[in-house]
Amino acid sequence: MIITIEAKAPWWKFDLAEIWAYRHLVMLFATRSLATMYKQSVLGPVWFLVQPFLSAFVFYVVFGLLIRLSTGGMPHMLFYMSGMIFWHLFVNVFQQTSVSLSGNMHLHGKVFFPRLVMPLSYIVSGAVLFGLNLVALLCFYGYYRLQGVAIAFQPQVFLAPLLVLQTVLAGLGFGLCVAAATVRFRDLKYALPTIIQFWMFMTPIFYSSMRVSPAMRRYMWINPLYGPVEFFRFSISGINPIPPEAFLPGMLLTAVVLTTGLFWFNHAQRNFIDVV
Amino acid sequence: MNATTSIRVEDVSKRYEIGSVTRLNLSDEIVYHLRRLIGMNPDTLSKVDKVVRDREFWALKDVSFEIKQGEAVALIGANGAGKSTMLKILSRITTPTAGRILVAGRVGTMLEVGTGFHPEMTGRENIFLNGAILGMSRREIERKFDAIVEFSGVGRFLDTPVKRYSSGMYVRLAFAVASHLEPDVLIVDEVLSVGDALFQAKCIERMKSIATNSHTTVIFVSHSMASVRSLCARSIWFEDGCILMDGDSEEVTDAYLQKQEALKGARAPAPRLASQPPPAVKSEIPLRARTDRVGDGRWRAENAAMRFDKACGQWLCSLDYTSEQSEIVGAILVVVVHREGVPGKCVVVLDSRCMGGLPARIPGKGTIQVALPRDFAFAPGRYFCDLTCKTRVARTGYEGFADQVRSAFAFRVDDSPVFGWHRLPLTPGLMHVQQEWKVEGTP
Repeated sequence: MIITIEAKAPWWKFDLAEIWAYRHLVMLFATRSLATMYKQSVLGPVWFLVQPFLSAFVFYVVFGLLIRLSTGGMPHMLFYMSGMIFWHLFVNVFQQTSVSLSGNMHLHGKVFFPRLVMPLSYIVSGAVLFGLNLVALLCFYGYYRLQGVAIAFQPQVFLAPLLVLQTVLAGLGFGLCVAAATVRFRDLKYALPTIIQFWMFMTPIFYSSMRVSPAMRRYMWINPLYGPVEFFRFSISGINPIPPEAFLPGMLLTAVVLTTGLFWFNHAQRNFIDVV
Repeated sequence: MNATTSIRVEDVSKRYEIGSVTRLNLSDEIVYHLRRLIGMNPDTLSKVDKVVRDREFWALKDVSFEIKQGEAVALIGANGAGKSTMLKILSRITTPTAGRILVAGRVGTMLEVGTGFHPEMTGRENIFLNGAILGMSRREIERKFDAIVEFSGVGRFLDTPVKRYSSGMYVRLAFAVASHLEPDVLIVDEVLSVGDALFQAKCIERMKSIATNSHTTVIFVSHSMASVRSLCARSIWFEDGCILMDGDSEEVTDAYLQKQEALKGARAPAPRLASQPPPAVKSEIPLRARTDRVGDGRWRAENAAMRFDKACGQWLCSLDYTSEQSEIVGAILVVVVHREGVPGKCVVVLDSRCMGGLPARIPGKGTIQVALPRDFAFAPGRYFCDLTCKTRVARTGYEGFADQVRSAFAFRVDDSPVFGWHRLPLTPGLMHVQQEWKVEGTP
């Protein structure tokens, strides 16, 4: 095996075999971030279940009790949690990936491994967190069913893995673009929190898109998270179905951004250590 | 690349842009990329050009060498000479600006001990994580786990988070993991100076056993000439981004130490050096009697001068040289001209590698003459020149140092007439060139 280290590499050249060879490291990084997340806290891993409950509870107090935004007939806690878990999955992958180059200088400056390993590990740890959040959500689901609330799983619930995939790929795509861009444009780092906040408000997490006028709702379809959030709610409750074409704009955007992100990141990672 | 070659470095250069790298601002950046997109040279016509040129710095300049499989080679040189940049490129942390490198097999790097150690994780977990970061497979780590623990001597604390370790234990565990890598090429930066004396000795032992191992190629960077000599048979001396000398460790480290001494000697009596002109030529000693030279002496400079030849109206630089051979193959001559009182920059470099230069074979003894263009003249002042005689091995492309003398000779320029000028005007410029002036316009 001969490795060639060259000044210029074609932008489309991707070494997938090399990334595959480091899959073990992807898992280890994911384990590391999960294992060290709540170390030395009193509740320890219980936090994984408490966290989604707490954030949904905040929404419940503000939007359910005080402002009284309608959820279209779905129990409030269930409504907020189902939106939150997809949003958290997205933000986890997006935010961590966007600083994966500048935030891991101590590693990337001292040893070589494919720079895509870090973003991939965020997907793995994000997916595990999503699974745990899902468990918390199912607990509430069971509770409401016992209370006799009129909600039921739809057959479409089996499409949920695809919704997760769409969310993760969108997070990865946007994250890679931002990571590559921040190598040169440091300003992006300061704009990012605002962008994320805006994005969260544009996603129907604490409000139902039914409250938005149909004309405006079409513009919301461009948000890659619109489809997963609204469709997941429908598939676990049977309330407020969305038309299939609502997925298209978001999926298209995800595909474009992800492709751009992969190649841009691949190009930017070659020399970023000299710049950051 | 043949079977016994482990690393081949071909004309590698690396440019850094010092200071802020962002091109001025967003609009300039956009203009830059648009120009590039439509195929124009983006650097012309823009402010970008000036800013980038001023700030660039070449950490490596056309470096070439070859390392055989199983060889242990040290890279030595002062801080900023380019060795660390070389290591970074070899270990793929960054890429070269020009040139390429071929490496046979897997590369392991030890630029730092404990890369990726997480304080909250236990010793055991960190062994696995650190091992994987360095490129070991899970099975490989499992196989070497006991040896690593044994070597580190932290066995009792294996399940304690490493943040509770003493700094010595931490470093010992980290070195233990790194030193059990078994790559085809091992790249080691100065990491042996860790731990107590006993552990240091153990580290050196361990490194020795890796270095003498016939299939692992080792590249080692250190400022300790003692460790270099004990670990590596061959050394490459970097200076200002170029290879100054390449050969047997004993010889190279001797020359290096000698130079260090000379520098120390020169620095000691004149602490006000910064405001002083650069070191004047030791004119009282003729060039052939000078002893402060570096190189293998394959051919040597005997006498050198720069003078203005009135008959042909050109500046001529001539060098009398000698050697033990009847002819010299692959001779390269470099003359760097400095202006007195202008430290850090040189006026011009005469390099026989440019534009024709010297023939592939030159007689064993003789005189080399290089003529500067007719429309060029040095501005009045005092100048001194560094001389470097090299030989290039055609097969590998090595450029070995035959003889190098700093401030080998000096010359003085008075306001003698050139270009038909009666007197040369005094100028802060370093040179005069033939100029053609023109005015266009309407009354």
